[in-house]
Amino acid sequence: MEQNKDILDIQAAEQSSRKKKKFILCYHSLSVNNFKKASVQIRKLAEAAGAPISIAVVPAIGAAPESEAEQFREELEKFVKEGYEIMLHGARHRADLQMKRSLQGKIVLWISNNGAEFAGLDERFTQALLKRSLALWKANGIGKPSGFIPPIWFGNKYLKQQALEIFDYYEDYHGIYQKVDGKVKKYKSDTLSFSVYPPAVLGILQTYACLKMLLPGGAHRLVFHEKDFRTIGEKRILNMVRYISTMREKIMYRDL
Amino acid sequence: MSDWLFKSWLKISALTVILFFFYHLFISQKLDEECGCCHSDDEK
Repeated sequence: MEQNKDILDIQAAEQSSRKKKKFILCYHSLSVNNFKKASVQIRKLAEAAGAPISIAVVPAIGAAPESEAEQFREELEKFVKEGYEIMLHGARHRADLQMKRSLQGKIVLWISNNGAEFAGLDERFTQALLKRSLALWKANGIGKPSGFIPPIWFGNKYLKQQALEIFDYYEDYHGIYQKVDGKVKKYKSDTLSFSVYPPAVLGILQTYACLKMLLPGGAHRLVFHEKDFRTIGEKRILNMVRYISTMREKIMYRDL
Repeated sequence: MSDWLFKSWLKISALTVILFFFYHLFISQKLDEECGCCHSDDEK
C-alpha cells in the first residue's frame, strides 16, 4: 500500500516537472460580428486544452442590431461565468483613419490593412482611445478585463504605460508586461500566431510553433483567430493544442 | 581558423535543417491524426 503511494507520488512529481513549461492559449478578436462562430471555436479549443482559455475581445458593437448585441453580451457573460479570461483587444480593432498619426504609424496601418488601431497615435489620442475601448467594454456590464492587447500587437510609445495604469497585463509581440511595485516587469513570451501569414508557409509555422513549445523557456502565447479554422483547419488546430498540452501546462495571463 | 569556423557553421546548419525536416514530418503526421474525440463533421 505504502509502496503504491510512493509510486503515485513519483509519478505526480514527474508529471509536474514535465509540465514546468507553461503556455497561454488565446483566441483573438471575438466581436459582435463573429461571436456565434467564434464561441463554438473557443469552446472546442478549451475542450482540447482541458480548461477555459483566454479570449481577446473587441468590445465595439458598431451598427449591429440590438438583438445581436444582446446575444453577444450574453455570450460574454457566459464565458466569464465559465472561468474564461477576458483581455481587451482595442476598441474597434480597425483604425480610425481620421486620427493624426506618425509616419511610422501610417506605414504600419498600410501593412496591417488598417488593423493596428493604436499605431502612431500621440499621447492624448492614445489615452482617449484606450478610455473609449474600456468604456465600450464597461457598457457590456461585465467585470474588468485582465489585460490589454493592442490590435496586431502594435501600439505606440505611450500605450504600454497608459494601459498598465488601468490593466494588470499588457502585451506586445515580444512579451507580456505587468506592473509590480511601480516597476514594469517583462515576461519572456513569444507570439505564435498564424493569421497574417500566407497559406504556403502555415505548415512550417505549425512545426515551428510545436518546436518552440517543445524547447524550454518562456511562457509562449499560442494565438488563434477565426480565420485560422479555415486556413489551417479545425482538426490540425485541435491536435496542435492537444499535442502542446502534453508538453506544457496551459495557464492564463492572471496565472503568470 | 575562419575556414574551420565556416565549415562548422555549415555542418551545424545542415544538421539543423535535417532535424527540422524530420520534426516537420513527425508534426505533420501528428496534426493530421484522427482522434476519438473529433466528430466527423468537424472539418465542415
